[in-house]
Amino acid sequence: MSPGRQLRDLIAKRRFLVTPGLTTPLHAMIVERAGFEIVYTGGYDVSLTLFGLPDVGLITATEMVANARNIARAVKVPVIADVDTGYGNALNVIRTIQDYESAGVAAVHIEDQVHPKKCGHVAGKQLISREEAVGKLRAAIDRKTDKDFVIIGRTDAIAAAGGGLDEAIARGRAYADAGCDLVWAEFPSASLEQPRQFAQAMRQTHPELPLYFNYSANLNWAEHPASFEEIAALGFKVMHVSLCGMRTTMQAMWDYAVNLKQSGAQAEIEFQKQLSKHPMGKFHELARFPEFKALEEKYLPNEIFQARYEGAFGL
Amino acid sequence: MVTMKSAGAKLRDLMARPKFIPALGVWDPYTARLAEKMGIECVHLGGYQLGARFVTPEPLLSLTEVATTTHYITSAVNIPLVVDVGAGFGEPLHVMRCVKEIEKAGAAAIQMEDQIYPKRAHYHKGIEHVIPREEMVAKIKAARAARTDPDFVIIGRTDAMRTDGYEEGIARANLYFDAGADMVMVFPNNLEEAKQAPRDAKGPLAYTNSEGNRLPRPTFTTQQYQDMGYKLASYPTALLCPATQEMKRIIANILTRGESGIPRENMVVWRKEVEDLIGLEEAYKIESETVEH
Repeated sequence: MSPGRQLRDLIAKRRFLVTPGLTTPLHAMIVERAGFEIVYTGGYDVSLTLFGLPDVGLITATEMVANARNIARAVKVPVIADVDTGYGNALNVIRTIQDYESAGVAAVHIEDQVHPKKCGHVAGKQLISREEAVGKLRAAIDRKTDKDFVIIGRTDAIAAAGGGLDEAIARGRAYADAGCDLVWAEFPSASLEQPRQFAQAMRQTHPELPLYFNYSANLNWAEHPASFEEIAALGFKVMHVSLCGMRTTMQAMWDYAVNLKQSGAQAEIEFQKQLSKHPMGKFHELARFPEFKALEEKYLPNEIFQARYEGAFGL
Repeated sequence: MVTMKSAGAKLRDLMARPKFIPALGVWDPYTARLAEKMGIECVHLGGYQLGARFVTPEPLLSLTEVATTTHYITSAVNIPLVVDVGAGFGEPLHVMRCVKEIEKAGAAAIQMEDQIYPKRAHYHKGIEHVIPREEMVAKIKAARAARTDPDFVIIGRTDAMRTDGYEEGIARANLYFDAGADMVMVFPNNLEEAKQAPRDAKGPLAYTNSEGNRLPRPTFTTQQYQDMGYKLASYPTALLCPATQEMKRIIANILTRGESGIPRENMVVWRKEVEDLIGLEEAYKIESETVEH
């Protein structure tokens, strides 16, 4: 079953799907082990985590697809990937889609910003015309090779220069008409008022269309606490919490680094104690060393296997 | 201790001579190595050849693909490499990352044009769209600011002579020199303009010797370029197109006659030549001294 088919089946079966957004194959393995059924990888986190760069369109399609491929290889659950603007015009989109499909990704989201783009929640976003955006999405849909590969059309119209909610609704409808499997609007606030209006408007014209929601780390959810169930009830079928892998790693790494700087070896001793009791403590198992040793035993000539491990110390 | 000259410094040495520089268009380390071996002093990685290498129109190439190819070529040769980075992959910010990557990959120069980004495949048909002057000036300044080796060469390229006429092209070339371009590539529309441009430009000009172009833009001999006052020309099609024809001939022989049709005695010599070019003898020698006793 193709990854796209897997994702479509889940969308059909589940009331809604939610997942923490991540950056690396290891993050994906952890999220899968924690029981999530889909994986999401975004552009902001890849830019900063893997390149130390801001999300302003500096990372190339080649770099992004290589990371997405590594993530897709590391897990069995379907992967949703951020392809920004598709890295150019309609022609670039076609190449991007084909690269992501062959990378084993289940879905991509393509946005209607001018290329090179800006992060969805920073000022200075500019839109391409509705017509050009539809052309790019049509190119993606026409030229995917697996008919089940999922295309998510994203509009940044609400917060972009010259945009607004009405423009976002018009674009959402146009992207659905173009054949997008899900539609996503970027909302500038954690208030559910705009998402509610957007979802209602979309339902009037496209009652069956699943909507995608970005539970963005850039928004203040404490001011507008909403459960995933409430958001799902509005019509949002798939959602991710953004930047989870990056933010949790930043916090943990900072705490560890400060501790090591202050306390020296004692910090590592304390950390080992804590980690050994934590579900992530057996990281050699997560890395599947035992599994690979079993493969060596199965496929290497016996004398080589024996010579390798007899009297050897290690993991 | 000998100080290694940077790639940019090597190119600047060539530029400082009165001689014209034919920067032969290559697409991989092998073609670059062959050119170097034969005495070519500067090679050029153009979008046209690289597009062919990846079997994709040039506008779809990513910075990673250009930088990776650059890295492999500069590892294989000692002569300076000029890298065509198209429109620099976006705005000044993207140009800055582009310069960093290409310089790190060992290139001597970038060549960056004033076409829109993402550029269109249509430019191969001679239909270009140029960005406003001030945007390109900002991109050249960004490129200068991003280089870490002051000798790294920035070649601005203007397509405006084709789109907006000779006057606009020369005006832009001179603006790009003012912005800090070390050289500017121009596209004169005819013989008259080709002769006039070096007289009207403030700095050294580069030309694209695109044999086979469907436009009236002439191509010249190296002596003619030198006499007109050009400093450098790239040769995007000179190797790629005839090499394709020779490959076609051999493929056709195998398909129709059942064999390549090359006499055995030729192949023995040619094969050795390929092996020498990639340094197989050296590898044999090292193995004999170490693992192949």
